[in-house]
Amino acid sequence: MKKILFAVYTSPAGSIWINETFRSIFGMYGQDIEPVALLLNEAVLAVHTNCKPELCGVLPLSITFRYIEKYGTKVYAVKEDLERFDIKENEIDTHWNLQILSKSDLPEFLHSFDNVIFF
Amino acid sequence: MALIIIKKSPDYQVAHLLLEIALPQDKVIFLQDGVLFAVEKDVKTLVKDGVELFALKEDFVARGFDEKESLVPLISYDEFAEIVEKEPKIIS
Repeated sequence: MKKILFAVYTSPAGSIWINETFRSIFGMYGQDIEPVALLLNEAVLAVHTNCKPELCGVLPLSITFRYIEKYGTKVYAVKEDLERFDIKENEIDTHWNLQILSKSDLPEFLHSFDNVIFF
Repeated sequence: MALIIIKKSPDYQVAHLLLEIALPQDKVIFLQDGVLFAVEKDVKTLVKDGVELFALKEDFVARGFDEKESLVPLISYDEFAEIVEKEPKIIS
């Protein structure tokens, strides 16, 4: 089974890329592919419990939650980016089932996948 | 060993991140506005030793540059396709 990482770095408010990333990920479960998500740069804002892109007229992030739970999708975020926006662990929405990795781990992490796609 | 494809210009943080994560024996190819890295004076210092850098010739000259201005080897579409076919891992 191929492992594919879908990395997204744009802000959740004002762009559709986080929801589009997860839409692509969920579509992969019909194939012989194991998809994984990585949130970095401004995209980490998505995990904050108070993040509500729907206030800007964009689809809510919560529409991804039931599929993340259903498929057990692994979602990672970069520790230094969470710190940059002062997002504390108790402020992270538990629906993301988020795993945190350090920026120094990124080279090895990204090379552990068959393909990495940046959205 | 991986092929890393960079399409964003040096103005984008994510483009620099992709250079930082490149490991020795990786190949990096600059496409689209990523070819602007090919005229950055310090481009070779942005990657670890042993990382090979290339830029797509068509995208470079399409932005008004002369081939001689590139600080990294320029490759054609055919050469780009050959590299993509050979590399088992792609980070893009």
